[in-house]
Amino acid sequence: MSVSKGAVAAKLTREEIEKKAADILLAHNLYSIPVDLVAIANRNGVGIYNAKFSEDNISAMLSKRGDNVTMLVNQSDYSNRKRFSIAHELGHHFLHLFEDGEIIDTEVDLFRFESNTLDAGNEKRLREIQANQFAAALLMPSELVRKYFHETTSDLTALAQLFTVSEEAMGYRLNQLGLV
Amino acid sequence: MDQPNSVFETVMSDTSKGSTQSKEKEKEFDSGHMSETKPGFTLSTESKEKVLSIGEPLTNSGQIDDYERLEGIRNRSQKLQIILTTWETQQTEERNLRKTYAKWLLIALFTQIVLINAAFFLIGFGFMVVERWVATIFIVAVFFEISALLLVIVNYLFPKVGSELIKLLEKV
Repeated sequence: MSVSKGAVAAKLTREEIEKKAADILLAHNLYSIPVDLVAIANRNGVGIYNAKFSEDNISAMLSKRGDNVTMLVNQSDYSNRKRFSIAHELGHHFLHLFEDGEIIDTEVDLFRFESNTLDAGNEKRLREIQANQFAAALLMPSELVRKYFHETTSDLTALAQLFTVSEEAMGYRLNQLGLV
Repeated sequence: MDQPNSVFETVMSDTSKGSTQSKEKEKEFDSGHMSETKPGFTLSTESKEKVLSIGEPLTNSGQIDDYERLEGIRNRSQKLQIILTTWETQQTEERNLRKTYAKWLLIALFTQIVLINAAFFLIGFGFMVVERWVATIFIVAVFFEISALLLVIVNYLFPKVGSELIKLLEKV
C-alpha cells in the first residue's frame, strides 16, 4: 500500500536517476561510503524522526508542507532497512514530492525493482520503482560499487557491510550494474 | 488534500512561528528515547491515524541504529533477567531439596551411631550374645555405611560451586 498526495512521477530514465543521486552526493561532498543519509536530508531541509506506526508494515512516511519537509521512519525496523527507507523517501523528496502532500510507504514499496518501464501505466508503481532506483544509487553509488566489488573480490557480505546495506539490496545493485 | 490537524503541528512549525507552546500529550510511549510530544509538522487526518508516536529528530547517521542498539540491550537485559530469576528459583528449590535429604540422612546417621554404640555396649557387657564374626561384620558394615552416607552428603548435597551460571550468562 502506498498513500500519496501531491506526488508526481516524472519521466526519468535510470541513468537520469543515477546522475541525480550522484550529483546530490557530490554537491554535499558526501561521495563516500557509508553514505551519510541524515546529513543529506538535513542539509536539504528534511527532518528525520523515528516513529511508531499503527501498522507494522509501514516503513516510512514523507510529509511536505511548504518548506517544512519531514520524514518518519519505522523505529522498529533494523538499521539497514531504515537506511534504505530513508534513501527511498529522499528519492520521493528529490524526484516526486514537489507540492504539499505526503507519501506513506510500506515494505512492499521498497521491493519494487522488477519493472523499469517508464511508460508503465501505474504511476504509483513507477514512482516507487524510481524511488528505489534512487535509493540504490544514493546508498550504493555505481562507481564506488564497481571499485569495491573488485577490491573485495566480489564478496557480497563484505560489500554489504562496507556500504551498510542488506545483502539483498547489494545483490540487486550488483545485478543492476551487471556485475553478477 | 485533507486539512492539517492542529494537534500535529510541530515544534519546528512552532519555532518558525515564534511559538514555543507544546501541543497535547501523546499516548504513553513504550520506547525510552521517544519524546512525549509530536514534533512540529502537519499530517492529514488519514496519515495521522497511522502514527502512534514520534521520537526525537535524527541529527547524525549513528542515531539510525540507536533503536536497534537499545532493543538489543533491552532484549539482552530481559534474557538476563529470565536467566537470573530461573536460576534463583532453581537454586532455592535445590537448596530446599538438599535440606530435606540432609535432614533425613543425618537422622539415619544418628540412628546408626546410636544403634552401633548400643550394640557395642550390649555385647561388651554380655547383655547380648552373638558370634564374634557376626559382631565384627556388623560393626565394620555400619562403619562403611556411615562412611558412605558421609560421602553422599559431601559429594551431592554440597556440590562444588559450578560455573553453570557464568556459562549461561556468556550465552546471552
